[in-house]
Amino acid sequence: MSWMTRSLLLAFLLPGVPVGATTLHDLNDEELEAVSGREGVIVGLEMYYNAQKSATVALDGTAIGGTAGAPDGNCTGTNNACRLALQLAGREARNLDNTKIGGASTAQAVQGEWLVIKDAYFALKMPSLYLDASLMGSGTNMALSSAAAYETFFDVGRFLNSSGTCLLTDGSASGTACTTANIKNTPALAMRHAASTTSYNTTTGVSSGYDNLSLSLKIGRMAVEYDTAACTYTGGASCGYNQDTKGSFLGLHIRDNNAPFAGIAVGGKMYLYGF
Amino acid sequence: MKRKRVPASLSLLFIPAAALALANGPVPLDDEGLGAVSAQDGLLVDFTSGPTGVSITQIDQVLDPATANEATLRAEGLSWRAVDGSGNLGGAAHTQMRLDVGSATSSSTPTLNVAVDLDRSRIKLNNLRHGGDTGRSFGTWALDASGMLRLQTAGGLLNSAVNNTYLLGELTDATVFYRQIAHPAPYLILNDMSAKWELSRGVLGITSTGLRQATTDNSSASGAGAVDPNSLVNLALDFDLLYKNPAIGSEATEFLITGAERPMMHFGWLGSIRNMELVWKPGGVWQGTTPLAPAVTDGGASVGDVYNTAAKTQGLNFSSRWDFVSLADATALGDANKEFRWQLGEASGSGADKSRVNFELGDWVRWNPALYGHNFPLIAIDALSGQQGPGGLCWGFRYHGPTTGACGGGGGSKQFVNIQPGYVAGFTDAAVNRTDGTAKSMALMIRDGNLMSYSRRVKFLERDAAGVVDWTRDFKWGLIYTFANVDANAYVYAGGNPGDLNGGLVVDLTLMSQTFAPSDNAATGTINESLYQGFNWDHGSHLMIADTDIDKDGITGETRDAMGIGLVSSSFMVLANDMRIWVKPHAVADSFYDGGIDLMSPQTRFALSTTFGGGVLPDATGSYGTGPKVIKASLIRLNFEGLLNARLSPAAPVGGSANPCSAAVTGYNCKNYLGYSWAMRFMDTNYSAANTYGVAAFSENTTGYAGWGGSAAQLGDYGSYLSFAEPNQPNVDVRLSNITGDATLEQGVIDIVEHDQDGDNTPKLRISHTMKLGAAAGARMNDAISGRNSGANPSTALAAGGQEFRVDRVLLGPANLGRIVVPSAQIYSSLTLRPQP
Repeated sequence: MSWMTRSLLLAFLLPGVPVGATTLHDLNDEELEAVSGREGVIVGLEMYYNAQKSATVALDGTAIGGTAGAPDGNCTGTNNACRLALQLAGREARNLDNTKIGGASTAQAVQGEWLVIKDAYFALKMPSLYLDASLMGSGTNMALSSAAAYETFFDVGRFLNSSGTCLLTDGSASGTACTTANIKNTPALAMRHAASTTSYNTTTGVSSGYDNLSLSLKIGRMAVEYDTAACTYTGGASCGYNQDTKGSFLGLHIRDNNAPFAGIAVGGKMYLYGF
Repeated sequence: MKRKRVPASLSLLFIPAAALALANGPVPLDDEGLGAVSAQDGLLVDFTSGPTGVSITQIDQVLDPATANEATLRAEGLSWRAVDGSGNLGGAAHTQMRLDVGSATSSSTPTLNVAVDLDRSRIKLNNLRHGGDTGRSFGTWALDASGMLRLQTAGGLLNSAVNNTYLLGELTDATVFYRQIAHPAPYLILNDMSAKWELSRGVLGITSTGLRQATTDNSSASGAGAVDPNSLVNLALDFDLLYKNPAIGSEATEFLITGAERPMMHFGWLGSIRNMELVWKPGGVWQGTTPLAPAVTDGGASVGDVYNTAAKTQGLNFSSRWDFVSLADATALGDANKEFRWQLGEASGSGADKSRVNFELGDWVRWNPALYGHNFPLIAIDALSGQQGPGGLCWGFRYHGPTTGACGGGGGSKQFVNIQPGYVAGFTDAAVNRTDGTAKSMALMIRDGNLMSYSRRVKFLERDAAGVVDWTRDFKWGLIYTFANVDANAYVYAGGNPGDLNGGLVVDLTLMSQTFAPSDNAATGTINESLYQGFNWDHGSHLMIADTDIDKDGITGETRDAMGIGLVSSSFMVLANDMRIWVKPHAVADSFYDGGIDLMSPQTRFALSTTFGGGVLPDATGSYGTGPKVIKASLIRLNFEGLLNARLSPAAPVGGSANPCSAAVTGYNCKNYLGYSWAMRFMDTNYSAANTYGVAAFSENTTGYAGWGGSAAQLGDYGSYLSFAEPNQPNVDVRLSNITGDATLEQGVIDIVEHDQDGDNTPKLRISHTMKLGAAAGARMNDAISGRNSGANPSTALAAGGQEFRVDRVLLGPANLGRIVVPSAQIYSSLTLRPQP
């Protein structure tokens, strides 16, 4: 029951209190805080990797514009700017006897291999992540209920290191005992999303309410490319990540049928604590 | 003209047609004067200059005369004349001084009353130079202000035994201008500035250590007691930082406020401090060759030579310490204006529209058990001749000494870093470079500084077009930053501005703040952990966002009622060699990202060792109550080595094509924002004393990584890296290492959004930028490196912008997982913070 509900109930129950007799007034900030009972922060994050931000829904989260071939150009065409390359350890250029090129070995050299993600972009939006400070066993905020029933879940073994020492700390050299009371007193960062009401209209194909997370992702092509002989450790155009000769073996695209961003509704709360 | 040099005095006074009026007789005393002294005859000095004001050709201050360290600081072309509110010069300058001697009404103690009033006028300094380097200039300053000074003291002037001295110095409606080279070069403006220092009652006297100023409650060795309402320092330093390039508007006259200025940011310190002591002392830089005695020990053995900061050459140093007046203190004092507040945020333009949003960090409290909220025992200022340095700093260790002393050997991890004064390198124009160690500099040194206090309240202040606050909202949050054990060497050289290479500023900066472990661990006998970096909640450098009233009862300072989360127990170090500070012109009207305050160092290192985590903040008595008090989520280590260019730019007009926000793209407008853009070249610098000018052991590791399969020493060089580890498994980290290539941050915006701007009745802080990597970063990087060569070798040109961005080793512990290469990318990101509804 919220503070306001309690207060209203109290007002009706108390005889002689002239409910409604005084003039209504706007709540000031402090009263508003008391109503909602929160002073936490909402964090909003947006990230567009090789994707454009636009107020136009059909463009927001699509590949960056620009001139093909320019350093910050768009994501189409051969060897365009929207690439990211990975080389797993052991796939570097080397001699067949697994020694470094340039050494005494006369074994045949093989070129380095790169996994190149091409024509790729993604965008992620998380408009409202609620952050609050909390004690794990406190019932005043969003923390776990202080009801004793939950305390049976407490497993001391999760808070001991391999030699059996309690990892909880109050900063002192002697540490803190791993007890239920101390776990309840552990500070934690509480995170949650605003509650979502979601729906999907099967006739129009339009969904709503899936807005805790929005994701747009496209990997146009993915291929293994090879260094040419001129490629050295210091890089350059001859290296595999700058090649575009092997086409593609995989593509991936995540979007909504109506817009570039696919919506995701997230529920629940998370408590971050540690030792 | 031959100039006579007199140490620390006027060398030549030129006062054209000055009129000096002396009145000796009955004086009109104001109420304060009448109340403070028994009415006696006083002295009135009323000074009115000639119609063109007063000018002084030159003032020299000579330090360490007739020694190898002799250095002269020269103020050249000083002038004083009347000025109006917009910077238009008027005629005669005018000031009035009243002197009265009497006794306080309550006693027969002789009391001296001094009152000085300065009519609005401009005090201008044409050039600040080093006497041995008269071709170069640090720049031109002008101060437009009216001011006053009040001093009431008993028992003789500067009598340290008297503790009821009153002192007030105040500048009102002030404007400060700073320009690096001749008009019409761009200049910075501190506009609408108010500055005040009012010691309501205390000590102002000369002691055996220096000129001491203190409030009367500054006597406790265990922190402040109850606030003494009669002994506070009421202070103000409040201004809008503006930028102007008069060449764009073809303004013929310098230093005018015309409405063409563009806002950058607002800064304001307001309120009161207590438990204050400020002591000015003789002595500047110490010689980095004199060891401290007795020796410091670590694990039972002497650590070797530690620099003796008491062996100073001529110069000036001071110590300062105080606590801030909290909200509760201000309530007890019955004056809300006495609460110390720090206002930051948007500056208003100089035109008709003064609307802006600021946020105010208030309710500051000392991080109990620190003795003072602010405690800087040694800040020294000196003019240096060549290599007259105090020695380097020791990264990782509490004491500073040479590699052959305190910063060498021992059981723990430590590295001696030293950017010596006297060397300037890395400019394409050789005229700027002085690679023989003879460059003259101004020096600022800090040792053992601690800022151990934090704010517990954030307040949004919105101002209407007239500049009047019309909407506020309070939150019991804290934006906490504490700095432990701050040490710095900064050497400032004149020159380097590309518009005139003889003007401008070049800085060598060595700065670190280190968190040391709280105590010695008896189990490890060989080292004393409290001398090395470690986790220390009560005395650490923390950067956190905090909830300062968890139980929402409106009371702060309760036990287990406040918690912060962020980067805690941090140690960080900034090294920047030959960093050019350039007030950079912008080229096109209403487009500003190419102009502003531009910092560029081809040889930069930023090292950070921190924990992502948080914990319970101490209550009013310094206690934490029962239970665990800290969260440790992840250890983070960062080492950046390479080239850094950081630029702050003023805001473009709303709706203009150069404004990074628009209804079409971002869906919102940005107004009065602070613009920023950075260019970073990640490198594995391998700089050591052998290949740089005046720099010792710059890199974390100078071996050099050369790809897979190298020697053990090569594999031990991680270059520029970012690493994460579990707090209890620091040796098993995920490390993105040997990062090289170009990265830029462009179109950066720090904007505070009004509550009714976005239609959700909520104010916001929004930070956004576009990061470009590799080839996409080329244009901005080429802009950054213009005029500069390699810092390690000034004749070596820097590679062109657009270097591919590579992570050459992704490591899990010692295991190499592979490489990542981003030939080109651009990443827009934004972060918005707003209160919960």
